[in-house]
Amino acid sequence: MTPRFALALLAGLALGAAATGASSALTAMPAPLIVAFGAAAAAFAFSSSRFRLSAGALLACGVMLGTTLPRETPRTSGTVITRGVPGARSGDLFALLDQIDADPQAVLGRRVTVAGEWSRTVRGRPATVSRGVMTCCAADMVRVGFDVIPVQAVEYRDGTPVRVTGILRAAFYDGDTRYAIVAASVVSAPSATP
Amino acid sequence: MALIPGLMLAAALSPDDIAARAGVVLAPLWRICIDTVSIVLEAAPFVLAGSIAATLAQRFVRSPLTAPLVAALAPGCDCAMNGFAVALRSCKPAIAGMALTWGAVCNPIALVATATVLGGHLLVARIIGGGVAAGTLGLLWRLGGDAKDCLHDACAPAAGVAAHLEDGLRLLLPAAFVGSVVIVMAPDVLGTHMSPLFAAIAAALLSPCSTADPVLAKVLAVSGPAQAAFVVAAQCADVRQLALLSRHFGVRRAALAALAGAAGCLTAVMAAR
Repeated sequence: MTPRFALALLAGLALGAAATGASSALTAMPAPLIVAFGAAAAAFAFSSSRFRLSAGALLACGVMLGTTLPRETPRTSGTVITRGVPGARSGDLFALLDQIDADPQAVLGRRVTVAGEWSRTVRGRPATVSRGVMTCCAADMVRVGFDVIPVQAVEYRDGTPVRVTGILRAAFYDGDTRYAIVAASVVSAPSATP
Repeated sequence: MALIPGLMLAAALSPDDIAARAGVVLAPLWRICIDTVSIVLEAAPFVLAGSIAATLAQRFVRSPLTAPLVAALAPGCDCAMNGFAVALRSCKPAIAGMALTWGAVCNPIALVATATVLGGHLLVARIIGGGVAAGTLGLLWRLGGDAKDCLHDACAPAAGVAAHLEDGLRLLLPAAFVGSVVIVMAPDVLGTHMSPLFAAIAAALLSPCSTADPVLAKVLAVSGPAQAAFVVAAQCADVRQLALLSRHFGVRRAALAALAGAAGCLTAVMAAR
């Protein structure tokens, strides 16, 4: 495939992803800029007088591929980080992490409630309540939140929106200070996360 | 012949088993594709902007230092360097490499983001680290680069935005793929990093954009020196930057650039203490 044809395919992919909202789910780039790129790349792909038909076919293939991309940000499977994220992000989980960053002693030992997505215990690591933060694109998405030690067994599947209430504690784990909500009650809360 | 093992497998496994096993293989592959597409979609407008700026610089200003200066000072993400690289082929390699390194580490938007998210002390560390990386790269390329100034047949810069854009995107795709494979196969790269060395390795593999690296450094790296190592390594010793330099200036020069990046990281770590 010549570069000019690849450009047509990528232009279609960008336009298709922007049209379905997939670009907003997968990147932090505003959709109008993705559309502008798609339009410019399509114009360059068609600028060669030869192979316009092939470029058109590849553009159409790209649009179709773009429409198959997920319209929700995929979940990450890495470690949940118990540290605040700079920048304005709404939600009780982010607000609590910011409070911990500013003055941990002010909130440690207190009863707290946060909403987020549930992740079960994996390989000896505690269960977590967390939210995904995408700084640039889906590839660099990280999960921030808290370890959770529930008072009774929790059967929710990974990704279930939950509300967790319990006592905030700090623990030294693997050389790092991690924050956990202990003696926690966990309830399903479908409207708790956006 | 290929049918026989297939039939034996079909006889030995139930459809549920096959579906489960296929899921184990296909889920990571699908995730790699999605991550690769997300990186390319996020970077593509920046590559286009870099291509346009590089073309304008070449067309309207005839000084050999114009393209490097524009690349070094352009207020955009480091992804734009993919667009600039073609325009820099006609320059002395040492100057081109210094411009690409400084532009990736210390472009104005990255500096503003670093000052906002990580504070003035780490901003200074980033500038010092970027300066040392760029300076060391220039020195190493002058002393130890290939005899040839240019590795391409077309040493003269390509004309037109389309050529710059095609070249930039052609390079971005494999680098995005490599980054995605690392993230999917070793998700704990996105875990917490205490030591500057591990923070630098994670940043080099993850290869985030210069506009995003301060936020990721704040989240993923615990101490100031680790954060400094993260932001500098993410831009001058990372997969995407080394792939860019390797393609345009050769593997030997890319290896020297990695050494220069390590020197920049070390200096940034010391400055952040």
